[in-house]
Amino acid sequence: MAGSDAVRRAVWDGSVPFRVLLDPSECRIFDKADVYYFQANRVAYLPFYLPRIYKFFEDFLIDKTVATMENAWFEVDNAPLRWHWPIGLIYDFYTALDPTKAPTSPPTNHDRPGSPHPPDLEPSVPQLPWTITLRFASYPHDLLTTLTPTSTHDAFINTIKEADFARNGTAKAAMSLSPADTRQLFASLQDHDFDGFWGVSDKMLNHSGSSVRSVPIRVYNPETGQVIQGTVPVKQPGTIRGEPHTLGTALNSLVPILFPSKRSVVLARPVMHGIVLPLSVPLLELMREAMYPDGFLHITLAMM
Amino acid sequence: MATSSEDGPSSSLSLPFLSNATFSIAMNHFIEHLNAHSTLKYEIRRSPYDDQDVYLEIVKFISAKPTSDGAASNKDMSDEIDEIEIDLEDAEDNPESLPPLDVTTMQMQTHKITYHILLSPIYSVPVLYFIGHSVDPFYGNTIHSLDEIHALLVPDSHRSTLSSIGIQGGISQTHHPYLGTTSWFIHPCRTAEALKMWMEDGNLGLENYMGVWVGSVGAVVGLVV
Repeated sequence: MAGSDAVRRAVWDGSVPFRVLLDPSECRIFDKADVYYFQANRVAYLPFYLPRIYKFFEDFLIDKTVATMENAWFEVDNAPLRWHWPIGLIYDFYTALDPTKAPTSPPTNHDRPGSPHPPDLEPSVPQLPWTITLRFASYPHDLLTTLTPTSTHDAFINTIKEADFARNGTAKAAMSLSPADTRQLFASLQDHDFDGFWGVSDKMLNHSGSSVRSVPIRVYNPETGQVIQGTVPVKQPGTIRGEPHTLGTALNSLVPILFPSKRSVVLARPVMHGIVLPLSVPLLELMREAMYPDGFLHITLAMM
Repeated sequence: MATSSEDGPSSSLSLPFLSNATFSIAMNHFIEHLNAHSTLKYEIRRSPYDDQDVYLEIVKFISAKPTSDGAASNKDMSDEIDEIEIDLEDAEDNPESLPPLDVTTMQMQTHKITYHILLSPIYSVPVLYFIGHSVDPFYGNTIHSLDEIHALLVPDSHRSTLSSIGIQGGISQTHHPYLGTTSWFIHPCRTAEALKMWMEDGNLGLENYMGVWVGSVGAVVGLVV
């Protein structure tokens, strides 16, 4: 991979087209709010897009003093969308799609409210753009964290530190970043500035005082909601030459029930960034090239 | 199964880091201590997904000082919190089954705090998760504001320590690793550091591990044994 940013750039540029509806109970003109379309970066977070979405719907709201940006939340099929998950993870988790079965339908930018929804060809086929609903009433506090001006940044940096600790056994690399670097890490994500982000992130991955021992992984089961978190060492212990862990051997050790084989998928396919990952990929390379900006491999499962 | 893989670094963990196995041992010592020396009510719980993932739940009722108009306020009274431990049996679901209490004491209980002590599979130290409810029968609700949490639970003596951690100061909201519901937690990135100071004095073993941990982490948000 030396010298090539091709995979990192592909991950960075991955996006999901969204179609946002205003919940009818929030709209002062019955069922007449316009529809908001946007293309979201998979590595970004929903709060980045909220101000412009709110502005778009502001004039349709019954009472702006009640329906404030602080009360806003998004929903898909009665599931509130988590603020501090990367958008790519949200999409892969809530759609629970198997990309091998999912022909991508072209974005339908000509939809108008009231026009019939395109009929589902197959239940598992995603309808793009992905339709989510903007709501304000009854904020589901038990399921969603409270959105504040600092909460997204805070959750992101907490995860960065956790990933650093998982990789090195200490969070020194993250803690030793200068305040300017720390700010840039988040600002460059907000600005979708690839070079700005990786300039700092590579300082952590290649920190002189530490060597990468383990890879932080979270495996999400959309059917049960279970999140399995763990660290998997770079090399397989017990192997004579210290063979590198592959994604297959890692999943086999983390989730043996769903990955009984190290080489072939039996019950579930691992999905990240909207594609099925090959089990043979070396884990360390997968992390270096395709980790989310927060340092984790966020892998969702598509049940077979 | 939210653990490091078995062949991972956890097999060679030494204090202050804990594996699932040493966490259970430390927890058993802690429970013995609670049984002998504390009136705190606790319950051992397991992750709904994997019964290897054990955590300890402790419920406490506390009080915030009533304001002059009689309503409970959570602002600016962090040093006024009285910790009142009562028999919680059935109190949650049936107010009528509350044990007979001094009337003034009854009036002072304003909040129910539920603490969960879990092992972090990444930091390999216990992590404190907690939620707070106001117990007013008519206006009772869950606390969602960080300012409220600070005012209600964080003693002044811990304010400055906390503020140096993280973007918003050591306490964050997240999803409970086993239950998926929203919960506050104290970020564990400094926990090992704090425990190591005790090790330098040769004072940390599995017998007193949780006691020391509660003293350095729990005390930050009002969990004292």
